Amino acid sequence: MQLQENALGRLFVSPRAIAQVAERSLDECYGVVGLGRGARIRRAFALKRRHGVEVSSSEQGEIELTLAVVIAHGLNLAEVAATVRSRVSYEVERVTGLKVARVEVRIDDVRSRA
Amino acid sequence: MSDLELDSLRTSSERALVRRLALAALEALERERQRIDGLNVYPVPDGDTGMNLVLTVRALVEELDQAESSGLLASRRDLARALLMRARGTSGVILSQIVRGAVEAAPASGLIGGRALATMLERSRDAAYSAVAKPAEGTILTLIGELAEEAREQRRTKLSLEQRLEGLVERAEVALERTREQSPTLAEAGVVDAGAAGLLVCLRAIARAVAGAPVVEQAPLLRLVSAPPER
Repeated sequence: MQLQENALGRLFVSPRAIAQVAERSLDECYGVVGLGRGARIRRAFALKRRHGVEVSSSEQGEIELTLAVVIAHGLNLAEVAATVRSRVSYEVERVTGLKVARVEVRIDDVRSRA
Repeated sequence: MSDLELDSLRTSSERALVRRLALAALEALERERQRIDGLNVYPVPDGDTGMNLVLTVRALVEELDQAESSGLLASRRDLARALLMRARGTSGVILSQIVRGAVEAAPASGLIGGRALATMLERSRDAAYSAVAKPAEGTILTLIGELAEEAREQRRTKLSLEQRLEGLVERAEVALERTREQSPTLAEAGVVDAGAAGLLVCLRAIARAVAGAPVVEQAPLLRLVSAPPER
């Protein structure tokens, strides 16, 4: 994905790197005790899927993320999912400078931390 | 969670006490809300930590009032569920875990000695830490960890509940100040952690309410920022 272009040349970031940033911030998200397995059917436009994180890009060059997570038992799932969305999109935007247009959060499982 | 359902707050004086403590925490949070919001640079700098904590504690107070007016007794499970359902934001969700742990471990007799207090805070800490894969330092989690440790250290001493709470408040103040250096994000912004500050506000209000002091004359919330805020 293109980060910037100027007289000196172009700058790219790989979907893999973006997935890695997303995954790291997921680890620190309160309520997330693990990553899901990701989408069963790999979507054609998915650029990179890394454990629970799928990165794709919209036609405008904006990032779209699908996050598959395991959430701790006993928490409010909707609230945790909302904080996961804002946390991960904030981190990815902060690190890459690219706009995160969409974040889908899929709760794959609910369990106590092992 | 098997026997909790039957374990209501039985007497009206118990209910009144729990409500008074919750209300003290709520009032203190409402007063400090904007300052707590202003500290919010982590995990996402959206300035809503204070509001989230207010909404979360308000849910607890409303649940108690509702149970009172409908003539039903609020069970510990009802309280835990009200908090769970209406917890807002990361700090609200963590606070609901902290309260749930403490409420579940609270002794049935209503008398809270050193050992009971230590057990309650250890359960709070365990509940709070149980829901995160990689706990970040310098947060509300760090603070509840310190409080559990302090309560454990006080356990065998002969102190009144007021004195124990006073000790907890002092420990929390030191721990809150230290959050400033524990996280690079906070260090860069020169602030203490917003969620941890909120927990201290609650604890201080509860300590004052238990001691029978008016909550309004609360001590200032530390030096919250290194540099004067740009407002």
